[in-house]
Amino acid sequence: MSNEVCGAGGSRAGGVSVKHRGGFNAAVIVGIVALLSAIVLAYDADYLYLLVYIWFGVAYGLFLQYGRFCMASAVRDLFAVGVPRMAVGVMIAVVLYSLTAAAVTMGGFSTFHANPLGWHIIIGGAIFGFGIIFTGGCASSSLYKSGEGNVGSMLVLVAISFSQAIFVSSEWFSQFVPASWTESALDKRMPEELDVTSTWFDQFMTGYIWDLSGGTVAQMMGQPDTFMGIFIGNALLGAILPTFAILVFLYVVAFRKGYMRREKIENPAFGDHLRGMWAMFTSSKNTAIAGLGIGVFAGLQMWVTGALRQKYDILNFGEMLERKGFYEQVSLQGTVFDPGYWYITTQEAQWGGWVMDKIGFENMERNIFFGLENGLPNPLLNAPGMMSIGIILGAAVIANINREFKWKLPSMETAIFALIGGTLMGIGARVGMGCNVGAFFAAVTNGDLTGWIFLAGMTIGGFFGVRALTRWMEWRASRNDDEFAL
Amino acid sequence: MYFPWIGKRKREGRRSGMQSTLNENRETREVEIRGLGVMKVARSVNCIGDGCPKPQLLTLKALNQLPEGSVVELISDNPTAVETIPSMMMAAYGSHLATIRDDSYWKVYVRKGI
Repeated sequence: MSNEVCGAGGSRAGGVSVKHRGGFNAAVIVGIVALLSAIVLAYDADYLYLLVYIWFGVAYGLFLQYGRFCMASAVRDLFAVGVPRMAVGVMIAVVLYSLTAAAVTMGGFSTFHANPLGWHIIIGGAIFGFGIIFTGGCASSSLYKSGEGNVGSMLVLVAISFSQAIFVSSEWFSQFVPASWTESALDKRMPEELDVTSTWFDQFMTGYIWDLSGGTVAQMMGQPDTFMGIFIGNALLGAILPTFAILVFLYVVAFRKGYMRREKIENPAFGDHLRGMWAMFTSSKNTAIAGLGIGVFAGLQMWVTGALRQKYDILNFGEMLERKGFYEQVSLQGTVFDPGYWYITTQEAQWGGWVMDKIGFENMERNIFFGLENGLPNPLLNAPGMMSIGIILGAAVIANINREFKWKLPSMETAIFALIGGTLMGIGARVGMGCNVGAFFAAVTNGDLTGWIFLAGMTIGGFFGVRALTRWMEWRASRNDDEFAL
Repeated sequence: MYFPWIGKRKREGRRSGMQSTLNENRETREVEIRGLGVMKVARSVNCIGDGCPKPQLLTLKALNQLPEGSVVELISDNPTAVETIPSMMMAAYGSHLATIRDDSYWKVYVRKGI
């Protein structure tokens, strides 16, 4: 690593002072969002609630693109090329985010709910983890890569949206439902219009998931409101100690040998290992900064959303939609999906579901997912959906500033992988009750241990995904008799 | 694949700001990198339009097939892939020589062996 030219020792390949229009483009994007915000506010000030989501989305997008925050890369690089850099970055981000999450919980304005514990998490995680290898991006990185002009990642978003919408509403596979799920589902006495025994997903939810329970470390300790429970239980025991164990493991397995060889250390002492660990951390600096930034903004978003809910006297955005007469958009409970913090996949499912509903698919509202829990709002009135759009725009802003924005059309192979992988990600996210953000990152940082199970599932899926992808590349190469035909 | 009609106009005449100049003669596969001198590129891996992990895997594959000391050039328009190359080379007992930015893609030079 002694001969570096562009100062590109791993971080940005930038530093080239060529005049470019990136800064101008970035200003235009920010300007358009600001102008539209002003128009919306002038039309009806209550929609401030939506605008908060979009502006926080822009902030997340800035950090995600800056840190290249990509769980797919974290899992894949480790197995495919033996590089722990992104995995280390994500782990440091977990530590930093868990501290801000603990502060938010302490402040009493956390909107986090723990996921139920069950076998579905590891299975969903594995399907999701297998999919991300083929798409080249997880749920959050597909958003920021779309903001970089990557059309392949946009295809991933389309696939995630529709595969989830189809998965939760179609009657396929319903014959494979265990009888106990059906029985338990019927016991719940759900409203008839939901027709809970018709689809696989409804019976999975009502007959299986609802019978499970879960909780944060603080809740398990019986101290959900104390400093002991939140900072020691949730943050230290639930997030920081497991992270530290994983970091030591990553160092020993993937970083130590290369570091000692580069530094020409023959018999490493304890101090050498400490310096090695530090070198491993600092090579992931950008991702760690992104984790801290996202953590601070996620905390702020929970706080702002809580304040707005008090101001408008609502518990959920659905109540406001009903007040404005949008009865068709909300669920039977009068609610829509409105998590109040960083979340990715559910709103994408709502986009897909809304489109399918509009083009004539029946029964889109006759299921638990849309009909009872999340509603099927118009994308323009979908608050967390606005956050996803904000993430794309925020990523586009910083990509333009750093001169990394470029419209990139995928090759046919990349496009097909995007659609297949995105479909697997959608299914995995619904089975596992979330994506790499909702089921892993937001979970572990709030002291919900099920997130670690999702990560284990994702790692297993990722391991087999890398093997499958390598096989595929070898097969393609042998068929074309040219190792660089890909 | 990338949009050849976008950026073509931009690429011309904007080389002045770059820190190194490329020998455009593809036959010899020699490039001049400022600070390193002229290097013989044993193989060039073109990954325009491909996302991770293909650029990384193909670079490793090229390095595996070549003798110690060979230089491989990776052409990629995926910033994430370009960024992982230096740390990948650390793990793969190689050296990352340079990352050179063009208007619409990066060229990364790596060498087998430290």
